[in-house]
Amino acid sequence: MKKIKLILFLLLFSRLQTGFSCSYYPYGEDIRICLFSSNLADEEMSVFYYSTYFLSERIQDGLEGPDANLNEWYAYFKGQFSKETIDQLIYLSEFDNFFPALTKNELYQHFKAGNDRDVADYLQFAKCVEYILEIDFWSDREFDRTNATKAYEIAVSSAKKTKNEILQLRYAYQAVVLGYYLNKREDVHTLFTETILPLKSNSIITEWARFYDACMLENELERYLIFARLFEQTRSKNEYIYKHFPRDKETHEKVLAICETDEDRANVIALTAFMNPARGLEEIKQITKLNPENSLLDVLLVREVNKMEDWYFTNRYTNYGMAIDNGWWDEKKEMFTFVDAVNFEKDKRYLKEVIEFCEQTVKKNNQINLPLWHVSLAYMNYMSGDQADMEKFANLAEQNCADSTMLGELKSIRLLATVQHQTNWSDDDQNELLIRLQELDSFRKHIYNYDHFKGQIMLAISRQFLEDENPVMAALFEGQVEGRTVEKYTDWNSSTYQTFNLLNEHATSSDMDAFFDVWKTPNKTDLEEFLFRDLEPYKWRLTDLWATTYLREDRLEKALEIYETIPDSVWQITNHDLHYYYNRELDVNPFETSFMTTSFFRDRSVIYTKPEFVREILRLKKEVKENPKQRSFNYMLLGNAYYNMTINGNSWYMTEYFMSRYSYEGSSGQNRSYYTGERALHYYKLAEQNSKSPEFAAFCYRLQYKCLLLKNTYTNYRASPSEFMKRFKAKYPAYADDLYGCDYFDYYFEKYKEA
Amino acid sequence: MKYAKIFLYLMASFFLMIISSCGKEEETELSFYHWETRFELSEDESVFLEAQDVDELYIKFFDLVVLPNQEIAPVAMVDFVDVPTQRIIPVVYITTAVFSEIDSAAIQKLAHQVYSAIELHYPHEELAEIQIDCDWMTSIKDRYFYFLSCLKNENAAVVLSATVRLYQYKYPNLAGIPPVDKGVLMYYNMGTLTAYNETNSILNNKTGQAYLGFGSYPLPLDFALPRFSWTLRFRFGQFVQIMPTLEEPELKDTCVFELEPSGYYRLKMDTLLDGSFLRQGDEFRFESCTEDELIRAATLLKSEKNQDHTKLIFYDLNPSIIYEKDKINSVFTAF
Repeated sequence: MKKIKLILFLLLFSRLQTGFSCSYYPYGEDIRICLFSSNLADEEMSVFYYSTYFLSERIQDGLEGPDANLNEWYAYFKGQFSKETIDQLIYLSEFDNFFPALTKNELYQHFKAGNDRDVADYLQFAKCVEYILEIDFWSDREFDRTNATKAYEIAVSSAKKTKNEILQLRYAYQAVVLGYYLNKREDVHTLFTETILPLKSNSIITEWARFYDACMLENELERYLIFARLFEQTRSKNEYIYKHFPRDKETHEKVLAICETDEDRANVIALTAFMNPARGLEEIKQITKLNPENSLLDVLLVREVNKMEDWYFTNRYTNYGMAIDNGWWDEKKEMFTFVDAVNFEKDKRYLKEVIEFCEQTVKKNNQINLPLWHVSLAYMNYMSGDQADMEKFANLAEQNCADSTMLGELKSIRLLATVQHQTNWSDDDQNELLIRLQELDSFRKHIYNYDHFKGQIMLAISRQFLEDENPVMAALFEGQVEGRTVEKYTDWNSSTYQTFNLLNEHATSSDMDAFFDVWKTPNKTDLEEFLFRDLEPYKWRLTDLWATTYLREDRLEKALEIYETIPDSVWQITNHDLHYYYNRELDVNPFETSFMTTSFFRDRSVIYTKPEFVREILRLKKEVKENPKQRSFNYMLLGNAYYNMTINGNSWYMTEYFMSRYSYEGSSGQNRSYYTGERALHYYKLAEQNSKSPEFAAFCYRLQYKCLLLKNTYTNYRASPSEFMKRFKAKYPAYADDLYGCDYFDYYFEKYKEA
Repeated sequence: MKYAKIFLYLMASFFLMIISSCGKEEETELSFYHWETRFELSEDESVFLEAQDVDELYIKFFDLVVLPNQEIAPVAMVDFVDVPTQRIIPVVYITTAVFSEIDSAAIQKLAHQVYSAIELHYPHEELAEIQIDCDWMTSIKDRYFYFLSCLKNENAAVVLSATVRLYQYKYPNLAGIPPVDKGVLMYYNMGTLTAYNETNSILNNKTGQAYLGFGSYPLPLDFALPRFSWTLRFRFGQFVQIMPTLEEPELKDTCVFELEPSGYYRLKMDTLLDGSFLRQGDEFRFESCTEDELIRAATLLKSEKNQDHTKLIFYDLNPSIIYEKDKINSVFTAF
């Protein structure tokens, strides 16, 4: 709790800060990639599925009580009552309003009509025991020893009196449970060995009684051994067993040492294997060798595949790996990249090892759950990129498989593998892909946490396209990533923005041309129709991005042409659900000489929309070519415009949309000058060269220093400011000292009139 | 003559008043939080507490949480294996989720349940004080404060205190002032534990100082200082988890870890530790509270005192305390 307390405390404060993925959230299950449905194995073991939490979420099948017990009652009544009816009566009714609350329950009616009176009596007694043992933390009521003792005596005598063997077992079990809470160690053991075991019942009740008997064993190692057996044979006591089983290897070894059979050894290894969040192939190998029929083997295999896909995909797909402050970037990037590569290589080798073992096992061993092993092999081969083996094992799995979860999983594996290997996407291929995607929905009920799963399938497809250098398709699939899947481009307001976010980071102007070509074409494929279906309301925002990619590349005519297709009203819109914050951000003069002094800072008297800004740059470029008048000054204005478009400028939003780590990693490929200021430097040099006033020339030289500082801060470029000042003094000995500080900027700036 | 007598009398009274006021010293008391679920003191710990004149312990009785089925329940109830000889102040830690969706009727009931549960588990005769620990925020402030009022109404004779975080202390107009008899300013956990460029998130006087010196808080205050350490795991600069049992001596094992110039310990190989799969390249930051920093903290907090009798409470009491006698004394002396 101390940890939770701290986390809550920190979460409160972390909200005061801004940043992208630099804070505690998201992590763990929020980002873990899971494309291999965990419920391919026993759903009753769901709490032991691989998870970044201590235990995973329990899958509820809609019934309150454990399946094993409900099945027994279902069989007892020869299918006359549904499991839901039995469940309602046994597990959903309360002691103090037992039958009256269930007047419509068929089993209740059955009892009310006088049938199976002995069973009705037993169930009422069991409810009474449940009430006696119920723990209510708020209640002043302490353990009701008197009534528990009475109930114990009734249970013992009823077990003796009843002729019905099933009820005899159940009364004896109730006596065992009550005896356990009354600390009657000897009596519990006697009841178990002399009343329950001689009945030789295969009922789950025998195993539950064994559990309570084991809990009272003085010999810890024997107790753990029985726990391990029960863990394999039953399900309803497993969480307790898992939590109360020792975690140290030394005790595990001791328990293994007292095992007399391979089955028991396999049970102990299986139980301890669930405590291992790291590579678990060795345990799987041992269990397969000792007892390939161990019922936990399937869960462990799926768990191992889930682990591997987590290590393999999570960081790569979500980008929630490297989240460091800019200041650390250069220093650490190399090391982190190296570490990532080393670990990825290890993961690849391990994946290969697991594949090899599973291939050998399916060849030699027919006691295992072959379809599951085949599905697992198909998926692992998809992970390793082996199309032929993926296909081979998927086919083998399909031959013997009627399980819907497996069939759904096979469909998703094939779909992912298709995207992985397809190079040319014909119209038919695209439509086929859409059909397959839609078919997946028919497995909604069978695949674990389906919405999340589907979101991650979309993410995997998007990342595959990105890897194939197709940002258009990557962005379109990115827009389909829903279902609480948290990743780098996640937008909580609209998944369409995810499309925007990915394009913003990866798309060049030609990618954006391609994007709009497809969007505008009337003959879209079904897949394209599907992927573009929600984009229309965001048309102007995406159009802005399209033009901006040209602006980033300094292709101004084309940028202007596209900007001019956007209605003027868009730049003033205050509805930010669909539009960027143009009216808020475009609020300073992007041509101002940006210094942190009063007279050169945030001139709000003149503002420009994006097309106006580009138009003015084009005008100035024409002017400097054609008109020598104020040429130096105009070059300086151009330098200012380009400088203000950098990360340090007053109008960085002209080419970027986010000022964060996100943009830092973002469009730097296409917008290099954003971090280097090289375009501004070019024009400041021209301004200096063309100045007739030595003072203004010196001023323009000083402006070049800003570009140098920018490059120093955001790139690996390292230039010494003192070296620059030396050069400055050498070149402009009369002015360098004045311009070192900011006191004389106004004076030197005004010299443009003589330039 | 009469006036001279009166004058002399007044002078004498004034002198006595000065003498008596000079002699009135501010009292300070040392105490500890006990945050484990099992209260069991070793003989050494008992001797330590006696030697330090610790008459009172703040013992966390239970956490109040929202269970997955949305039920509000007490969990991690303390088990008194030993009954402390010291006075006990029960502490209840409440998660903010408890107050996220609760109406006033449920709050009244909850206050009654909490009071009853404390009374039920209180091992001594007379309950004198209850402390509530909840990191309230604006969104739940009203509900939390109403809960505190209801709890106070359960027994007006019992002193009700509440913990106050640095933010709440500095901005009482924004965070609100809890309707309790007194507060405890928690002077720890002040940094961003998850931040890669943080150096010590437990105790950072530079950060802490920024929250102090803004006038007297409207409640009588005691103060809490940390005495714990932990190791934080990072991967690629991203915080992964707190590893409370990983101590610095283990991190100094050069076969397994490499100390970086930044102060982080970098793992050299994949390994399994405390149930976690650690990967090669994972980085670890060890955080603790040095004696010097704690003395500095105590000195800073000294000027925040607003009552004649102030308690300095260390978080938390655990077996390692017996090795820190001198450290505790130095800090306490500085307070």
